[in-house]
Amino acid sequence: MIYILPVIGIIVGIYAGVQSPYVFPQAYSPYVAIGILACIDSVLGGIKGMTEKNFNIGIFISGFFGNALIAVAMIFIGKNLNIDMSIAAIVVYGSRVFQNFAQIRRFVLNKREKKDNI
Amino acid sequence: MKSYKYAVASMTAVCVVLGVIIGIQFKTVKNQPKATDIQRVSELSAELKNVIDEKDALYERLMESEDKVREYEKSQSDVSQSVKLLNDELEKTRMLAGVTPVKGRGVQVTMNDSSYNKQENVDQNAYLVHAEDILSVINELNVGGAEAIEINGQRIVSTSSVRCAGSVVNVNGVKIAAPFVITAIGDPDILESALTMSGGVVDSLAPWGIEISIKKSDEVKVAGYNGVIQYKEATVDKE
Repeated sequence: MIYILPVIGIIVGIYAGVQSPYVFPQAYSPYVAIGILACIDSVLGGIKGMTEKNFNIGIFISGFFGNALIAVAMIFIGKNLNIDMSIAAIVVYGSRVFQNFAQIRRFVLNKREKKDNI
Repeated sequence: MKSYKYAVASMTAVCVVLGVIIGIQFKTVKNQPKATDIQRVSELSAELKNVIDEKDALYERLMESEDKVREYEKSQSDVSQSVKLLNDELEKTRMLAGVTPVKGRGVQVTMNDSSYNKQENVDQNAYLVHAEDILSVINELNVGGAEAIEINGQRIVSTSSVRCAGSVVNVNGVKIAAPFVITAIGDPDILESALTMSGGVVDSLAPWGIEISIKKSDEVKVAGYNGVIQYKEATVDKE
């Protein structure tokens, strides 16, 4: 049941964010968006790590911030080189989100199946 | 199992951070000013182009009609002395109304935006030529006995208006932009001194760096008013 905590955390976080008086500057909006995508990927990656029992806090935290920073940096460089790097980031992180989710799904469903079998 | 608790705790913390960012981003996106629909923009610009074309065509027709009227008048004036007198009167009235191009001695006043406005951290607005500045120049010229005044080809007549329209100035409903060339016919010396007297218009605009140059000339040309003067409400009071 302890696994419900991150879900509650994200809901509380969204609520707090919406209620807070802060707004990102318009110019940074695309960077934040891609950062969020990278972060979602990291979180799902962390959950996947848990299912595989090789979760490592160091890797998780560094991935969370590192991925976001690299995504933002990539878009920044892309903007200056006049290439839309956001497409690359969206494709890569998007597909990884699906992959991670697929693995988590299999893990959860298989676990239940096993329980039923026993 | 202990490491799992750590994992969930860190995951929760990260999720809260992520949630806050997502929440703020939601709000940011929601507050984004709606970009004008590109289709709408192209529609409007096409419409504008049509209207401008129409306006040009109508203007051409107006000019043709005016030429025709002149021709008729000319052919009539040969007929009799009284018609000729009437015609002379008409020409004078036209000059008074400002619908005919005129020329003569006068001055040419060029007003340009201040170069100070290229500096940063200043109120850019304060260093532009405003409609009020143009109006005060026109007023001084009239005080100096100007007989005909035009701004960038727009003749100032009794119904003329000079108004700020964003970054440009609307004269007789036509948008004109800096540099503003105000041409006035009259005694060049009097007109110049009307503008440059101490405490006058030029002095009052100097602190803002507005560039005003006055050129005296033996022959300047002032265009005629090409709009239509209509009297819808006013009638002659014969009492």
